[in-house]
Order: sequence, then structure tokens, then C-alpha cells
Amino acid sequence: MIPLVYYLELSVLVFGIGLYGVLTTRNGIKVLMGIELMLNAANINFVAFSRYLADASGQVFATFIITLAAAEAAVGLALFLAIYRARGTVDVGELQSMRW
Amino acid sequence: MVFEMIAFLALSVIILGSSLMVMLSRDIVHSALFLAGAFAGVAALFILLEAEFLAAIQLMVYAGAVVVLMLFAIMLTRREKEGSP
Amino acid sequence: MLEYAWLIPLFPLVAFAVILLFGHRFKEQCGYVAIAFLTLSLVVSLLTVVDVLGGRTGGSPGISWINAEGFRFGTMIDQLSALMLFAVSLVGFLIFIYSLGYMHGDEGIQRYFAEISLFIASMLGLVISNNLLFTFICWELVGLCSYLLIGFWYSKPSAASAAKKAFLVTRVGDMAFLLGIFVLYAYFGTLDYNELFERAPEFAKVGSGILGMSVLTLASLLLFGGAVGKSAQFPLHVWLPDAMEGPTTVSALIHAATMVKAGVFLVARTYPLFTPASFLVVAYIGGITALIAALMALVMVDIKRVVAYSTISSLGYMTLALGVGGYAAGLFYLLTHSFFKALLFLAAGSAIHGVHSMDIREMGGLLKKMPITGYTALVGAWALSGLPPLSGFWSKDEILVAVSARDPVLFAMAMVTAFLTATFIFRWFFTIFTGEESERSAHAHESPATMTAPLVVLAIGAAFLGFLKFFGFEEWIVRALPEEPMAIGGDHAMVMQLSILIAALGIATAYIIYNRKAVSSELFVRNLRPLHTFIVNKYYMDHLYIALAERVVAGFSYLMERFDMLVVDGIVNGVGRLFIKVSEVVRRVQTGLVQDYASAVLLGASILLIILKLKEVLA
Repeated sequence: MIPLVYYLELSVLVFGIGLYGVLTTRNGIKVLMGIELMLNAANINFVAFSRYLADASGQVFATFIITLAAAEAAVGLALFLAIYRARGTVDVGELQSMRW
Repeated sequence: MVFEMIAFLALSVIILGSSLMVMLSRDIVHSALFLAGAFAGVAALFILLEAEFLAAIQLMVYAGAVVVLMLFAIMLTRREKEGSP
Repeated sequence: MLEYAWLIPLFPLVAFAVILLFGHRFKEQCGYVAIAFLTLSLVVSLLTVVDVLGGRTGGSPGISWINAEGFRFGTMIDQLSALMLFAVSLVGFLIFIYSLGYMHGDEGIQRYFAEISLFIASMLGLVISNNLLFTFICWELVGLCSYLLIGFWYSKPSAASAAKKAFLVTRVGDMAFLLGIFVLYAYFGTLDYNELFERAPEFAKVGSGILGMSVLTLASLLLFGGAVGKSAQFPLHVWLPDAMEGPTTVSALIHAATMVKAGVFLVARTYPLFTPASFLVVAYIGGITALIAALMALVMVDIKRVVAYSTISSLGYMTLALGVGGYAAGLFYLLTHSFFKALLFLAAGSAIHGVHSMDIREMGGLLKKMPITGYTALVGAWALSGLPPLSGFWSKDEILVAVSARDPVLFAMAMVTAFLTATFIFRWFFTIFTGEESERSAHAHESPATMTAPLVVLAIGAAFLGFLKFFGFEEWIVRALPEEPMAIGGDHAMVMQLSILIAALGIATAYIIYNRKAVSSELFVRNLRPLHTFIVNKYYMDHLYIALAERVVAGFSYLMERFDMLVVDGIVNGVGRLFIKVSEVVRRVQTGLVQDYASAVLLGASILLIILKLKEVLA
């Protein structure tokens, strides 16, 4: 059996890539993609632990996360569509009206 | 055992590579497609972890619904002049 | 009816509420509502007086309103309260009736009767109160009503400023009164009159630490300060003449019969608290007031101001009497004065009503045109000047006897005042009612019955109340004191003859100058020009007060204003400015960029992880 650490390392790498995307990219939709990647990394963690501890609750959590991620993607994309309609851009660098 | 290790390494390469390409590719449509690839890789990884049900859901929800949603959003927010906003 | 004495002030209070709430339905009928309720009050008052005459005194312990030690609002009915109840409710009743005629057709009649009902309610409450706090509350209410009523014709600038003046000047006294209450409460722990009187001797020797006065002296002088304001004693007398801007009925009710008596009443009520030292002050203040006011009355030409100054002079007399220990004499004069001074005011009002002028030089020969007014005014003037057999003589005589036994200086002052009083009031009478008819008085006619009837009743009172002396009035009234006052010596017969002589001399002087015109009054004015100017300008006391207010108070206010602007506002604005400056710097943190916030979250989470790890490693 593959050691658990391998899975965890993979998870960390994926999470790091996602985080990098969220923090650096200026396209709003790409930011959302980064978030999806981070959620997937968490999922990998859950499922791996569930397997190695022989406990099903990890999978249950993963199910919930998938559900939640889908909802979050829908709401987030709808928000960006609305912002696009209002301001003609989805560049998060230009969305500064909350300043001060 | 060896097969499992090979499969894991191969899947890891696919997942990490697609994830990186999501962030690095210049065209956002490509990003979305690489995202689908990464999701599929994760689904395969779930099978490796003996979580077949989750793998199915992963494929349906992520690779299916979420990526399609993303593509729609990209299509609706794309500006005509620039190739990739 | 002693137990129901608390009802007495309640009736006019109800009238006040009714007129205030439903007055617009009654319009002109407001007066009848007020009179109806006051009649109930009058009946209960008279029944109470009968009770007291029958030897019963007491009161109810009252209700506890503020749940604190020493604050129970109850009634205290003794001979003094009974006397005041009688005077206030009866004179008030007559003035209400007179008001029906006098205020007829005035636009503010509803307001007038509402205010005057509230006034009489608070005055009645004042006289039956059994503790100083409730007295003070009523005292202030009375002051408020006085303000409202003096400024009744508020569209007249002079009336508005007179009302303000009255309020502000009496406020000086009220402040002293309040301080006196504080002193008493601090040492006695109670404000109930009976308890105060019982424990007064304990504190007679205790020093207060202020100018070497004992606690009692300090407290009684402060209380007297309140009386000085309310009863228009020197040096706070300046408000009363100006208060004549109000309707004449108000002048009669407030400034002759009731409110100004509140000060004298207060001194009489707290009599056991006074010490010899404070009595001396009281006596001299009274004497000085009586003298200077009489002098001013001599030169005034306004029909009401003459009477107003004579009121101040009479109040000085009462204060003087109380100060020299003539408790009964002072109160006797208070009773008779209520009647004849109200009479004089109402007669003046009736004359004004007939002639439509306030200047006595524009009147003359009114006796034929307005016989009832004229003859009742004669009774009032006669009583005031102190010739037998009218009431003024008997009461004034008592005061003179009391003074003569104590202090020759004060006695001389009182005698001069008596002479001046007789002179000025008959100058007033002769100028208005006798002599040639002026142009204005040719059109005068007698006032309606609602106005003349009270005049007649008051005249009867003014004429005959003096005979109460022969029915043991003095022995009766002193029973209000916890202990018998010291006996007053004095040569009764000598003083009586002297006072008759002086009064007759005064009247004769007035007769020669103002009726016969044998000697022109111009002669005196010419030869005594500086003195005349000095008195006509009211001793420049108004000027002095204005200068005081403008220079000292305004200067101090200016300093306070600078302090407020620079220091207080400076602190407040400085704090605000500091935060603005700080936030100018700090606000740069808020970029509005979601990724910056996410970075901050990452940074924070990283630091947290590092700390946790470090703890684990170090442990």
C-alpha cells in the first residue's frame, strides 16, 4: 500500500497551486478555479484518511464538500456575471469600491 | 503493489500538471479544460482509494457540471476585442 | 374639616386642568368655572378656619411621595395657616369675581383664568404645607405663575421684559432659599416643620463655619433671602413696580394680597428657627425697605406704581415687625393689608377701566363720575394711612409699639415712613378723585357690578377687620408658635397718639398741596432737584444691577465662553482630529482588493501555525 504521506504531499501541492492561483491571477473566474482546486486538495486528504483509518466518515465529508463546491461555484459565477453586467469587467484588480 | 504505485505516480503527474496548466495557460478556455482534466485525475485517484461512489460524484459534479458552468461564465463575460480577458 | 384641608389647593388645580383642557369650549365662561372651583375651596377654607378658631389644630402626616427620609408631604394647619387661608381664598375669590368684569372680552381670557387658578392653587398649597420642600415647590410654582401673569400681554415688549425681570430677580432669592433648605437638611436630616422646631435649640450654638454664624443664623438668613426676593424687600425690590405691566387684577392678587405675602409668611412660618442675630438683619432690611419705597411712592405718576411702591413699603413694615419680635403685629398687618391693598389696586383698576389711562395727572374729579370706586378707594387710603378707626390704624399701631420698644433708630424710620405713607396715598387719592375734571375723566363712567361689588366687600373688610384686635386676635395667633414669644413692652398710649398725629399731619400735607394747591408741588421739586432726580430714578438701583450684569456677569461669562471654546471644545475637536489623522494613515490598509485580504488571511494563518509549532517544539 502506498504510504499515506504520499497522498498528503500530493494534496499539499495541489492546494498550493490553487492558492497561488487565487492570490495572483486577476481574472475572477480563474480565482474561482483556484478555489475549486483547493477544495479538491482537501477532498483528497479526506478520502485518503478515510481509507487509511478505515472510517467512512471521511467520505461523507468529501460528499458534503463536493455539494458545497458546486453551490459555491454557481453563486460565485452568478456574482461575476452580475459584476460583469454592471462594470464590464471581471478583473478583480479593478473592483476597488470597498476601499477605505 | 507496484502497479498501485505506478498508477498513483501517473495520476499525480496528471493532476499536478493539469493544475499547473490551469494557472499558467494564457487562454482561459484552456484553463477550464485543464481543470476538467485535473478533476478527472482526482476522480481516478478516488478509485485508487477504493471510493468508487465519490469518484462517480466527482466526475458528474465537477468534471460535468462545474466545468460546464465555468465555460458558460467564460463565454458570457468574454470581451470581443481581446482574445482572452 | 381639618383632615380635608388638602382638598383646598386641589380644587383650583382641577379648575386649572379643566380650563386648560376644555377651555376652548367655555370661552368667556372660563371665569365661571374657575370661580365655581374656588368657591369650593373657599368653603373648605372657611370651615377649616372655623375649626382652628374652635381650638383644633394639626394636620395630616401626608403621603410619602419621594421614598426618602424626611420627605412626607402633608398638611399643617395652625393659626398661621388659617389666617393665610382666610386671606388668600377670600381675597382671591373677590378678585376672581372682579376679573369677570375687568377681563371681559380679552382674547386670552381662557389662559388668564387657567393661570390664575394655578396660581391660587399653589399659593394655597404653600400655606398649608407641613414641610419646607413642599413649600419650596409651591413657592416656585407661584413664581412661575407670577411670571406668566405679569407677561400676560406678552406681545407688549415692556410686559415681556417685566416678567423676565420679576422671574430673574426673585430667582436670586429663591437660590438663597434653596441653599437654606440644604443647610437645614444637612444638619437636621428632616424638613418637616414640627421636627425642625423641636430640634432647633440643639443647633442654636453649633457653628456653621461661615462668618462665625451659628447654623440656625445661617439657615434662617438664607431662608430670609428667599423672602427678600418674593416679598420685594430691599435690595431685591426692583421687580415689583415693573410687575405692574400685568393686568390690574393680577397686580392686586399677586402683588398685593397673596404672593408677596409668601415671603412674610415664610418668615412667620420658620419663626422658631430665627436667632437674635438674624432678627436684627430682618428688622433693618424691613425698615430700610419701608422707608425707601415710601419715598419713591411720593414721586411716581403711574396710578399703579404708586400703589406698588406702597406695597413694598407695607411689606417692609411687616418684615420690620417680625424682625423686632412683633409676630402678632406683623401678621395682623398682613391680614388687614391684604384687604386694603387689594382694595386700592382694584380701585385703581376700576379707575383705569373708566379713564383708559395710567397717568394720575390725566385723572381728576373722578369721585363724582365713579362714586363707588371713589369712596371705596377713600376707605382703602384711609386704612393705609393709619388713622382710626379703620383697620390700618390698629395693625400699624401694633407694629409701631413693637418697634418703639426695641430700637430708636428703627422707630424713627417707621415714623417717617408712616408720615410719608399718609402723604403719598392721599396725594394719589386727591389727584385722581378730587380737583378739576380732566378731559379724560369727563367721559368716565362707573364700572360694572362684578367690579364694584368686590370693591365694596373689600372696603368692609378694610374698615372693620381692625376690630379683631378686641376679640383676642393676638393671643390667638401667637399660639401658632411653639413657645410664647417674649412680651413686648412699649408705651402704648404715647405711641398711639404719636402715630395718629403723624398720619394726620401727612394727610394734611397732601391736602394742602394736592387738593387746595395752596403750595405747589413744583416748589419742592425745584428746591430739592438732586434728591428728586435721585428718587425718580429709583436710587439708580436698576442702573446698578444692569451695570453689574453687563460688566461683572458678562465678563465672567466671556471668560467661561473662552474656556469653553478653547479648552473644552479644544479637547473634543482635538480627539476628533487625532482620529482623522490616524485613520489617514491606517486606511491605506483597506485596499478594497479581495486578493490582498486573502493574502492577509494566508499570512495570519501561517503565523498562527508557526506559533503553534514553536510552542510544541519548545514545550
